Amino acid sequence: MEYYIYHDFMMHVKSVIYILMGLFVLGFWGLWAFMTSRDEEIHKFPEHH
Amino acid sequence: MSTENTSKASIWTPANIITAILLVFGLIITVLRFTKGLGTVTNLDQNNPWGIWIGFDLLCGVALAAGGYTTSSACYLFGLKKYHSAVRPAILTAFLGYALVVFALHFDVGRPYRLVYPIFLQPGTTSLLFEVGLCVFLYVSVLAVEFSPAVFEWLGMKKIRNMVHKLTLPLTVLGVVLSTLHQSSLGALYIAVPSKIHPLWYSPYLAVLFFVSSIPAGLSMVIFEGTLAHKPWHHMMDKTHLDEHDGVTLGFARGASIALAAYFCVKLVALAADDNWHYLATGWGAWYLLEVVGFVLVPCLMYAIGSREKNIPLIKWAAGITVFGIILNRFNISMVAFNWQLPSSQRYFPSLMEIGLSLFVVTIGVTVYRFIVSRMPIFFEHPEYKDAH
Repeated sequence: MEYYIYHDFMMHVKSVIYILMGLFVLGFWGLWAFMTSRDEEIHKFPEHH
Repeated sequence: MSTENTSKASIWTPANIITAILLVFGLIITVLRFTKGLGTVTNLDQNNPWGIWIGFDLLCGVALAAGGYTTSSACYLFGLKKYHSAVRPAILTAFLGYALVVFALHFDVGRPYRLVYPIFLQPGTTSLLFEVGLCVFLYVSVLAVEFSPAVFEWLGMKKIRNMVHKLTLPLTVLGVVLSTLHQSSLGALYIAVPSKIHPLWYSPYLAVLFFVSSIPAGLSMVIFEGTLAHKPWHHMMDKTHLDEHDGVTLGFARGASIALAAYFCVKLVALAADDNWHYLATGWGAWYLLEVVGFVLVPCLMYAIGSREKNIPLIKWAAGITVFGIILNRFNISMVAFNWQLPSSQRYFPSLMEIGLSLFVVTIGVTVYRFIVSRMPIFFEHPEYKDAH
């Protein structure tokens, strides 16, 4: 990708980082949900009895 | 007679013989370095003034000693007392790690009698090296005081032990502050050489990357060291330590997974901020992807799966891979991707004596560690101070 002025470069780079940030939020949510999914089962187990 | 034979056999174990050989070779290299100079024992030159002694002994030593501040802050600052049994082994590893960093630095810098100059006589307050030196000097002192209760318990000095024990909380806070400062400063050192490091590894975020990566490095080192220590010192571990071992491993695995994910994110942001994506399609890119995917993302997922499935062996493998990955990262920044534009004839590769000296330093660490854990209350609580924390 070619940039004619520094503003172009910054706009492109910052836009990419904003998209990445959104993906990171989803990724962290997914990671946490994955890691704790079995914990919830353990916590919920006694409630059924 | 039979007693003499038994004692002789117990001293000349394979581990002791290897230790003795490495120590003898290390001492010979030490004499050569301090009598004949750096040129005799190293491949360092004007292009590559810092080699494996900085890349491994210092950068890796400091990163892998981060288990001290991560474990003590988890236990004392975040109130996770279930990790208490891991604090002393972690503090010991951190203390030995930092003490050996200072020891190894003497070989690079030379003139050990001038060690106090940067702190007390000629402080270069505008230099990042001054900050690193000051922080390491202060943090080694903090770790020595943090570790001292184990020594006082061993020596039976109850009064002074109880006095020092009261300093635990302020020392932990100080430890976190100092670690944050110098872990990041080590990365910031390399911000000064943007033209020498390959763009995939160079980033204005190097300080952040070094600090963030030290957290999974420290947590992984605690798991890794616990795994290594479990077999030979099982008899020294009390019931509390053995009972809490799996809990510590699972809890730290979760923390390490999140920390590795955060490190991966900062790595991607660093890549995006300089728009260096096109380098990924080169040979250097393949090497970079191996580091970031193979030794950051893969152990992150292994930790996540291991903590979810309560799979301890998987977590231990993840810890080993993470420790190796951190070493690889520090090697890449300080040696492999450093001076990447130079022709191969001018590139740096450590001499056998440089590698030998690094092994010498590690051997000293392992020997002192073995001496301490075989005698002091590291894996067990001293009977007179049970539940004193």
